[in-house]
Amino acid sequence: MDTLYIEDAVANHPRTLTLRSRYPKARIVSIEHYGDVFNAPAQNFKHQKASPALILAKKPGKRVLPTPPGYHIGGENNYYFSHMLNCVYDCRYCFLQGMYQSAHYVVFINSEDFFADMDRTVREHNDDVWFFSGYDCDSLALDPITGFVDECLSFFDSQPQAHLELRTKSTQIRPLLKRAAINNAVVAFSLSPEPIVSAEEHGTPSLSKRLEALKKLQDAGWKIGLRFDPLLYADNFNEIYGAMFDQVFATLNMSDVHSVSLGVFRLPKAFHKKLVRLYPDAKLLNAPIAARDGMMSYPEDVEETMRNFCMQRLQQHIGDHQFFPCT
Amino acid sequence: MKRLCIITALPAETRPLLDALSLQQSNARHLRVYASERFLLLECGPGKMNAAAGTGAMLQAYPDIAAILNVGIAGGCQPIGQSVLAHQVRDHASGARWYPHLPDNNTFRSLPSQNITTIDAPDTHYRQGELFDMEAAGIFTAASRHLSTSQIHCIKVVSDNPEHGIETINKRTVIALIENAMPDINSILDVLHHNFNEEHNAVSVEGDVLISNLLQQIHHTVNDERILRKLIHQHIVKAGEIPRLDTQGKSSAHIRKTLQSSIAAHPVIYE
Repeated sequence: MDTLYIEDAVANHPRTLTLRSRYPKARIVSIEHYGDVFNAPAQNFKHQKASPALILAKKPGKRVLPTPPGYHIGGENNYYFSHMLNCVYDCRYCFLQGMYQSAHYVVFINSEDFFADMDRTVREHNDDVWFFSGYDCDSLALDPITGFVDECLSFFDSQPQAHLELRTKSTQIRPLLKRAAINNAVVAFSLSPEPIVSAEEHGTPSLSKRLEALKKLQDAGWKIGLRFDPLLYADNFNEIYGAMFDQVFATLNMSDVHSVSLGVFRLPKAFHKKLVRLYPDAKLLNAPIAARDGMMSYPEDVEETMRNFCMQRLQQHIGDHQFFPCT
Repeated sequence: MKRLCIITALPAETRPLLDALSLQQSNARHLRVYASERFLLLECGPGKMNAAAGTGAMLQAYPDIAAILNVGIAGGCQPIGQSVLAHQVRDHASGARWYPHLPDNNTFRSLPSQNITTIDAPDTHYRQGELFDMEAAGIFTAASRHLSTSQIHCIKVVSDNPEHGIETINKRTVIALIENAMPDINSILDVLHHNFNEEHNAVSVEGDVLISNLLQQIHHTVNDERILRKLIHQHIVKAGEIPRLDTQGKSSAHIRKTLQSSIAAHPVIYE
């Protein structure tokens, strides 16, 4: 990391000092508010993605938010939180590149406030509460730098009524393997066929590496989740997705998988427009994509065919209680 | 090839650059511009207003500018002659700020960077971690309407500090300061040139040529042009080759349909 932007409010926070010590040669730029850099106009996402800076900030206001409708894995009370904004990976279909002006990584230093908010949220409910991480970032990819996951797991270990989903494509699973598995955390990996990983998920671990990490976690007693999301159109869809499922079923104990979800590619119109501008040569743009209900997506019959193929393959190996098609 | 634009304020800042970069005076109305195959240089005159007006006019006159580098002198606490990059530019009067995105590159990394505050009149209250100049904020105000903050940079050479006050600056010392900083300036220009010209690959250049030729041969509207550009690009991406089009006597609607059919005939295969 070449440049660290540091909010004045967290300049002396112990986590800031630890992070700073990891980058002794980085330029340090003091800022008043992370939005001054992150939301500034006239930024070039693509250029920044090639050499992103780290922004250390304090997350004010609401840190725990209700999930959109349908975003759940069986729980009634569902919330998400983002201890980071932006992702180290460069997936062509990612909505973050449409949502943010900047490709810099924002790390919110005040983890203690996140845990306090989660604690408060749990107390507001009489039954179990789910918290999803990895909506605005990859939950594990930058963990060697932030160290957030270890603290997070300690918090959940002390809160049996609270459940955590860590969504990731990263194989940085050391913080998980070095401690005993806890019953109320699910490590969910986004999976795609290897040819799609190569073409569209730039900088991510291969499918084989992700499955290897999942296997290690499963063997260590962690609950694992599989997220086949987004499904991307291909004329050889059955061939590549079929091969992926074969590999998944051959590697993992499917009856022990906590949850499986499917989601077909779709993007808000404005985000799709930005994707076309940023990466006009992205292969996924060659698929039949059209506007429908305010979103850019495949025709309904195409979506259904893709979804049906995957469901048929999955249903041979998992039960209904494990399957959440619409998350 | 897109050109880089250097912006200076004073003739003494300009002179060493003309020699070092072999720049020739260019005919540009109301602007003092020098040019070569790779570079443009605008001498905008001193002060924020001149800088903003000159930069805006320059970008109108030369819309294909790839990036801007503001080169000049500044006051601060660093040693005299030190080259410093801007990692934040602040307009003292309005409080507006810009954050140039410095690439992760050895050349950029080898130079110190600081906040540059643009002031409206010379100031001698030097502060640690900050340089004073009189143009950078004007350049960023105008340039950021056209270019991203990855494409607008600022390198200043320290001309005065608490030990050597503003009264020691004259034409001769400014020329010497910029001459001595030329290795740093050249390195930055090389990086910017490389970063902002590598995006044009052979296929996209060939595609641009095809579009230009095509548009000369057919009657078309602005909307036709937009759609045809998009379809030709899509064809190149999907088919991996330039479409072969028979344009003789064909309408833009016909060419559009031909391209659409050809694109549809190429499957989306992930291998």
